[in-house]
Amino acid sequence: MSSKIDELSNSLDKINAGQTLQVADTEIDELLEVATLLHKAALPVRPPEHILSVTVQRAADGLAAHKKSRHNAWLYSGVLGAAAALLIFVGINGFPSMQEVVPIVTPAPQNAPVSSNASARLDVNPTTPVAPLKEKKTAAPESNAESSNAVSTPSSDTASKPATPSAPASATPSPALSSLPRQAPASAVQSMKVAFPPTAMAVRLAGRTPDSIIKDSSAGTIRQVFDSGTPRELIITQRIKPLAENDTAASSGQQVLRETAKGKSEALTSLNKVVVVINGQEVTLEGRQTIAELTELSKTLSPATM
Amino acid sequence: MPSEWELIEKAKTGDRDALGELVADSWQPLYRFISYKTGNSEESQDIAQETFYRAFRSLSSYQRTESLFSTWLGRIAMNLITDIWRKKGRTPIINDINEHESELSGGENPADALICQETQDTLVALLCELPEEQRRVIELRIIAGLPVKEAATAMNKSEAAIKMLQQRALKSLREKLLDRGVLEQDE
Repeated sequence: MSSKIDELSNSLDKINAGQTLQVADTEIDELLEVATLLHKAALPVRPPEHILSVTVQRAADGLAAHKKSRHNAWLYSGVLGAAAALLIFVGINGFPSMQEVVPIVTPAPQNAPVSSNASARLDVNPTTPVAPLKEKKTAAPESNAESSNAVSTPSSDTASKPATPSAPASATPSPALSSLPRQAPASAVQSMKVAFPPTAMAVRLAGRTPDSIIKDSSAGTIRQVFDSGTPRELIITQRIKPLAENDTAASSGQQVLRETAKGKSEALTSLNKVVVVINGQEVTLEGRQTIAELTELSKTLSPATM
Repeated sequence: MPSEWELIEKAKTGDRDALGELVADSWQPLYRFISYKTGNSEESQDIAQETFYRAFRSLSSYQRTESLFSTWLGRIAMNLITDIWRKKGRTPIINDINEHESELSGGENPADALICQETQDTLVALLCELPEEQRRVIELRIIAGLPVKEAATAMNKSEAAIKMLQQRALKSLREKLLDRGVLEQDE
């Protein structure tokens, strides 16, 4: 009897597995006929609760894994986005501030007098308004002294020529000429951040030629760098506006410029600084030279003349 | 009654009831399909669970227009079975899952479409006339196709008791089918 029960059970397992059977026992064969009929009927049946709960839990795990992967995808994309934004931010702020750096392209003629050479390079034509930043950056070497560029490289002709009437030697322009900036087109005037006064001349260091001249129109400063990149590097920063007339904007601009110099000095070694006043303009000398040397150098400074 | 797609959408949002309903509806045809393929009812249970896990893990890849959900489950199950066969060194049988679509969707196999709707209704009615335990053991062991061990767990009985019970249930059902003329007595 027991063997028949086991044989029937085994046979049912085989039917469940889709196998066809040939059973010798008639009684078992009759019962298997019923089982086959039920199988073919494919009646719907709900799985037992314990199987259902385990299967539903497994499906829920799959769903959770699906949500987690989607969440992770969002997280990763968010992190990547933040990293990209950070890179862009660092990239933008990592560049040096957009100051007006005007390198000297053409070396000065050896026989030319230093004064005329320096003044030619730093020629801020008092009769014309200071050109906008974009124009200054694109200053071509062939531009002549009569162009409206704030700083131009002189040709040998202009260096040797005496000052033209439009660029008077006197630091104080004539009333007629000084009125010219007001007659300039409105668009040109509006494009200027700070209109340099007609007296905007860089101070001159006797016997020395600056490597570069940085004009910061927003801060109202002119910055000259001598022996750039050497231990003897000297930076002369000149505030164009008279001290008494400094407004808040100019002061903040000056402060920014000083901070830049300070940061640079910290990167190298500590710089010494001497501040002198020439013609009512504050002039700062910075360098690794001693205070005494800087003081001596400051004595050789003279107002630029055209 | 919500459609299958509505259940899927609800299940995606974490609705446990919808998930349970979806599993309950899909389980039997899937399990039977796997059992037919593997020939091992115990292994089929594990494969069925893994199929549901994988299906819900990649639910976003299931498109409504693609195929029936049950067919999609069958495809996943077939891939799993193929993997198991490969691990065991057996040559996977190339199957076209679409041939099993009617089985997986709970319908009858066209090849075995011998049972008419009337016979099905009769079977259901006769099953309901059986004692509760006998009806249950037939549902679990024959209709659902669970192994003895699983049926024993589901009914909280020993395996021997299940074997006894299934024999009595089949005998009772046979007598009823003979009475109704669904089956004919062998000479």
